[in-house]
Amino acid sequence: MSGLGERWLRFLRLYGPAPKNENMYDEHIQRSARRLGVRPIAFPHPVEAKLLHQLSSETERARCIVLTGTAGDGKSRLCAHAWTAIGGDEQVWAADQVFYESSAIIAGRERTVGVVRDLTKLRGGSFGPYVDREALLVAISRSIVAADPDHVFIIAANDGQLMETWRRLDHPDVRRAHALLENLLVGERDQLSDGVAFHNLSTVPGAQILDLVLGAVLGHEGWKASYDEASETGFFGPDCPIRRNYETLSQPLFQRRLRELFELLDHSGLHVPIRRMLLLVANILLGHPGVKDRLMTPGDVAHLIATGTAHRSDIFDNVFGENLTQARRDGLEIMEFLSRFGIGNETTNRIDNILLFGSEDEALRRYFDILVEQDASSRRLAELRTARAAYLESPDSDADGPHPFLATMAAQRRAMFFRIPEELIEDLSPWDLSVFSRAGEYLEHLVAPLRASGRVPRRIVARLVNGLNRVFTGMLVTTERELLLATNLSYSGSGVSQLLEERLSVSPKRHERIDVALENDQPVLVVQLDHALQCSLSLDLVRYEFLMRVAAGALPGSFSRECHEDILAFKSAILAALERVRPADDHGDLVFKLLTLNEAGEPKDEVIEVMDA
Amino acid sequence: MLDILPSPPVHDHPRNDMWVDEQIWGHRLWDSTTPWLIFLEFLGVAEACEREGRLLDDGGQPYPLRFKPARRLYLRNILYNSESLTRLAARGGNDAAAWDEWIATMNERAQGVPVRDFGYLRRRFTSFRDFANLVGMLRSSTIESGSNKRWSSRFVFPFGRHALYEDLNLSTGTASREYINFGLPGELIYQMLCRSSSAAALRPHLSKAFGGDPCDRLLALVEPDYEEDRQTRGNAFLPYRTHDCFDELGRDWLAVLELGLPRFDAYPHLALLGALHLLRYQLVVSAQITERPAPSFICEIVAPRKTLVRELSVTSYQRNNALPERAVERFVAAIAEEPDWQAAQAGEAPYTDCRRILVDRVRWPSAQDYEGPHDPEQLLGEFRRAAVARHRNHVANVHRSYGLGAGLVSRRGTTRLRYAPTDALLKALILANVGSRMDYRGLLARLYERYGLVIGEREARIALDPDDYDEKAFAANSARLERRLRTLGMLRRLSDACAYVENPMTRSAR
Repeated sequence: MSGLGERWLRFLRLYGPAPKNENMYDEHIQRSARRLGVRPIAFPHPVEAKLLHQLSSETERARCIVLTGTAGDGKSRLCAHAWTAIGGDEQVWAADQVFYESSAIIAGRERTVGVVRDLTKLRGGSFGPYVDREALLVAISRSIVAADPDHVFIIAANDGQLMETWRRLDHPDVRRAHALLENLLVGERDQLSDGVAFHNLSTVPGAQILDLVLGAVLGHEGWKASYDEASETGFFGPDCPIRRNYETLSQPLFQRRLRELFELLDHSGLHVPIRRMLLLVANILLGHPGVKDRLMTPGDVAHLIATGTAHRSDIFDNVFGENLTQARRDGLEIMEFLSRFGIGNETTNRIDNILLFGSEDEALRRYFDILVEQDASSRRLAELRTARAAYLESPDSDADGPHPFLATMAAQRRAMFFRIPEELIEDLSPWDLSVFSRAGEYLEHLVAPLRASGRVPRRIVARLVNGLNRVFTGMLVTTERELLLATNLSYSGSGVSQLLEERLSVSPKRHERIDVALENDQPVLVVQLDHALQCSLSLDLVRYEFLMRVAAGALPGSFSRECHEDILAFKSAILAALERVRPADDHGDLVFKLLTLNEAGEPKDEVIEVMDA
Repeated sequence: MLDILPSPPVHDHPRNDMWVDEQIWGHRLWDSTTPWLIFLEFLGVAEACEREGRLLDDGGQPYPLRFKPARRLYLRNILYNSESLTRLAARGGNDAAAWDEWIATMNERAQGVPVRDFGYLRRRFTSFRDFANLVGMLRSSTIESGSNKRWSSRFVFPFGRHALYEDLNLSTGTASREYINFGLPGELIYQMLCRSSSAAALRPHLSKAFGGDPCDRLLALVEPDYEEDRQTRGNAFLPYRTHDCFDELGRDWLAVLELGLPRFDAYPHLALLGALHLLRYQLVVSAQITERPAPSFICEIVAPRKTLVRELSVTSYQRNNALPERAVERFVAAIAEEPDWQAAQAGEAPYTDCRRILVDRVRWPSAQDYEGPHDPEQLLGEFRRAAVARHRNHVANVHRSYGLGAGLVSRRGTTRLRYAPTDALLKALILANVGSRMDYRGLLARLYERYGLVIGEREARIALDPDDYDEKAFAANSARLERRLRTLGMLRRLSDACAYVENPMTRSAR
């Protein structure tokens, strides 16, 4: 029997992006853990405590519990825990039936608890006391809308399945439940929402999941065992790539950068389920482009070191799945999300200068040491040096296509992204290496202050307003203190808008105000029109980047068409709301405010009054 | 069964040398026009009827629809027959002098106005420069419609009733009504809405279109106060008392108008939907006459490469394109199957009797139209040829023309015409069909049920032969539409299996 360290890594490999790991359900993983004699990866799900409380006798109200989300969010595991919490037998659960029933004391009295383990598997036949599928679903619907139900249910289902199942039911009692479930899913208000414990596991922030996963994986005793079992020229020795990856992953700077990426994904509304996070971590630690399934086993290490290819397991490439084939990478959602940042492809002149000339240049040497040489394997550095020299000597390669050195530039940039330390951030932002150059500003000057004190720096709001104005008017205005609502004569949409309908003040004036607030942990731009009426625009990362780029001079039609459309729809919404608040004055004099710009980019409205005879 | 109205008296339409297309679809579905022109024509009719207190109300008498559209020749001369205006304003100098010079020019050069005096404008507008700026502003909102060179056929944006007028030809010095730009499909739309189930509900929305906007008030000031000499029009004929297509059109327009869009944002959508429904009306009626199932439209969501869906879409287009002609042929054949034709053929003077039947039914042949053998079979044959030839001149092109105009038909990415809806059309369809939120697959099903549009795999399986159906190709087609809708800000994807289409106007601002 091999050592715990090796067995631990073989177990960890089962989470990675290998084709046969595709259908790894939780039960299989548990079985494999038992087979290998390894303690499985476990951490309390963020939702678990609340869930168990809702099934206890102290909870104030008996509710049906709906666990939904996407595949890999942890629904099965939570369902199992809920079952044992209400006194169910683990052996019985292991029989893998679809429907279970038990009883428990919830909110002060005894009630029956029905558990639907997976709504997809609910097909024909009878379930407990319910004669068929429809009877069960009707009972669930009734329980969902009841104020104090005798029968409560726990249901685990993918969000799509949940909606599809309820939509197909053609029964009067069901319609209200369907509407309620839909509202809960999309986050809209509903009167009855308090009666359902709706846990959408897709709303758990990815950053939080990353923390839990890293904690559980890096804290596993298998690592200590690996150190103990280390062999000088092989597994977990000084040249072992797995060990090198483990040590890098344990560094606070690396974790911090990784966490920032996931925070930004959260703020872009992109969710990563737990299973995919585990996949990523396994790939980070074990990825290598030259081994079977592109994931190392402990047995591969000695051979890799011997043939001198161990250094090709580049942790920075692994984060983005560069060790995998293009097709595999495209098929994995988490890799697709991370690729949206464009890290490795975006750059600035300064960054590329450091990579190309840093080793020779006096001024850039310092950066080069920290960002390229430090911690890199000597073999890798040697390869880079040769390639770089060849490239600088004759940039036109003999082979077809670009010079091979340029291909390594992307990898170097990726490494740089993770290596730029705190002290250098003022000077050289890691986000210049991504498509979202303002991502750092987004996290530091928008999200963080909002979470801390609820206020955003004035200059950020001013620039956002400027960006909005440029999109709204279609002109290069410089106005930052007012929001210009301009339209064409006939259409409030895009194009150059000549007529100024209204100016809204940013700083509080009468009831008008424009500010950024935090709603559900998401920054939102709020335009207050009236004491009771406001319009808001959710500021996800893409919109923020878009508005800042436009404020800096980019054309609204570039970067993101979706954003452009969104913001024009926002303008329509504000105009429609204004029309309700200040209905047009039918009998006064006719006044037209034609919008033009002076040389400074300040809007000048030429007011033409016509007396209506 | 089609609820057919009797044909109007012959002398109402003296220039029609045959009455076949008109009996099937109406007088007339004109092909060389655009959705905006159709919409403008509709607004003109609606305004005239509203003025007389009978908006969308035919008083139980579907034919004739008589109305007196406005002409507004002073306004049109100022907007489109006065190049000197901007020149004089830019020149600067004395305001009074500029007025003098310009008014003198206008008094001399204006056409079609009863009294040659533009002096009233001085009293209404304080400065010449301001006046010129305002006119420039109004001119910038002209509806661009292809190659409308003639000034009397240029149309300003329909801000309100003072912006509406009929198409006129002034080349001879006196104004005469032209039927090239306003070719009567707008009147057909008006009549369809009168007869639709949504007529009463549409009334309050449409009457809002005629007054209240500042630009409309401005236009009222540009025109002097006087009793215009208006002519009565009312040539259009819609052959069905009721029809599902009328109700569908009314439903869509009502849905868009009820959204409460700001300003005139609803108009482009109404125009597109109007053209789409006319196109569908032609095909649905054709299908009913030829006893075929209702037409379906295999839509390709444009892909970078040629796909199976594109091929099927081309075939679908070509099949639908040929459908109206089949309807004409069926119509001709049906005449020969009627009992009185059979009786005439068996009777004593077959040729004369059959000829008379034709003249009664379809106003053909006149004396010169047919000089062949006096044989009913030959006569019928020649009639068929003539009817098809006449159909091909204009009405046969309606499918292509309205399809291109509405954004349903396109040549994008290929050389052949096929169905590939544009973003504007998709947006209009969503505004008309999605309340605040609808499941994505539900939207696809709805688009198929109501319009016959086939985009996703489920609808394709129903609409196509099993040989032609390919699940993967259509699933990919559907995925492309999802991505497209997301780019347009109209789709929210929750997870792999769950996507919602949202109406951007009614969702609470997020």
